[in-house]
Amino acid sequence: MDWAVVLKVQAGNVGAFDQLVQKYRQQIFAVIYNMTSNREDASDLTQETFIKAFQAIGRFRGKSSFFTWIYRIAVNTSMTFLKKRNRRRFISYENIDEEASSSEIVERLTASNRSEKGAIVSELQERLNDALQKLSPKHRTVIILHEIEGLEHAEIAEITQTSIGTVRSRLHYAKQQLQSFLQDYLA
Amino acid sequence: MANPPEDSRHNISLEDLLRFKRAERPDQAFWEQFDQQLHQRMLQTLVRKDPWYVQLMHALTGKIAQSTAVAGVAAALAVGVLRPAFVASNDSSQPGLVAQASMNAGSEVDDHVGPAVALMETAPMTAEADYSIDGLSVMAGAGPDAVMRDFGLDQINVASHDRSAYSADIAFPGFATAGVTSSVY
Repeated sequence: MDWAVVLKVQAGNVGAFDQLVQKYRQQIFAVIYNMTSNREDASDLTQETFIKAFQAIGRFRGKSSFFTWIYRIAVNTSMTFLKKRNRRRFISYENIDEEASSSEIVERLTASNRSEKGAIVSELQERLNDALQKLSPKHRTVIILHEIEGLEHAEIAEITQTSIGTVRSRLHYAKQQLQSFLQDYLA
Repeated sequence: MANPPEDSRHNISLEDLLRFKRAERPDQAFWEQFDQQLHQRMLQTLVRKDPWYVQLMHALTGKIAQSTAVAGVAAALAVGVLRPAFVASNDSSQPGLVAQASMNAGSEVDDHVGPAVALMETAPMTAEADYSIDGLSVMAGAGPDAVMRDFGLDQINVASHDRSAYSADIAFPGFATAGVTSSVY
């Protein structure tokens, strides 16, 4: 389906590109937001990702899926940004969806903590973002794509242009790191 | 910092915690602003001027194409017009006989070709007259089709010149390639 839209754009129907934006903007934003932990940067880099894709779509030959291609652009755009940003970190968290406040995990934390639900949610959000930012960008990428976005190892390997073995290895190491950072919450 | 509950430790996995990250989602107002900004940036990209080195490259490419087209037309004229005349003058010891032979040949095909050739025969000795001599000398002893082929060749030369001149003015492909390859992974 994506390929048909890509062909339309390549044929000169520029407006058709909007369909691809509408379809992938939330996922792309989520990846970049979790990479940067800054909603303004994530918004800017998500737009940059789509502009790069728009400029290069004439040369997209469909060897990989559009989904893989746009994710690769997003990941590389984030990586370039993070290298430039160096150690300077500006945290700007995204809103938590209301459904999450009543999720099972929040209920469990609230039940025995006696703290206000809002405070627990904010605390968890801060701890998770902080833990992710402690990972190296490469390890952060695989954990975000696999555990948060739910992509398969093979898809991640294609996006990051590495082997499946490398993806598994990075994932294993990243999980170990996160478990040590978040041990207060875990068994 | 609120302490995580003791009894929840055995019930929460890392995967559960990370799944919570999916709940960090922008609201509808954010996406409306996002779409607006994205469209604006895409339009800016479309009208953005190329860097100076890309402009210079386009300018040079245009000049080269133009020069090549002019040289091509000149070469075609030299081969198509001057060379047959030169060969014809070498074949005959008396140049006047060439014209005479051409005039004779012209009268042979006059019935078939019609007013166009007749007009050329009566034209003064200008560039057109030169063409007429060329055409007639080539098809001496040939049928009227040869005359038509000869004129057809002249038309192709002119069309070729126009095409290259127009192609050098095309701007959009230049935009499509500018500065994109390096920024896409």
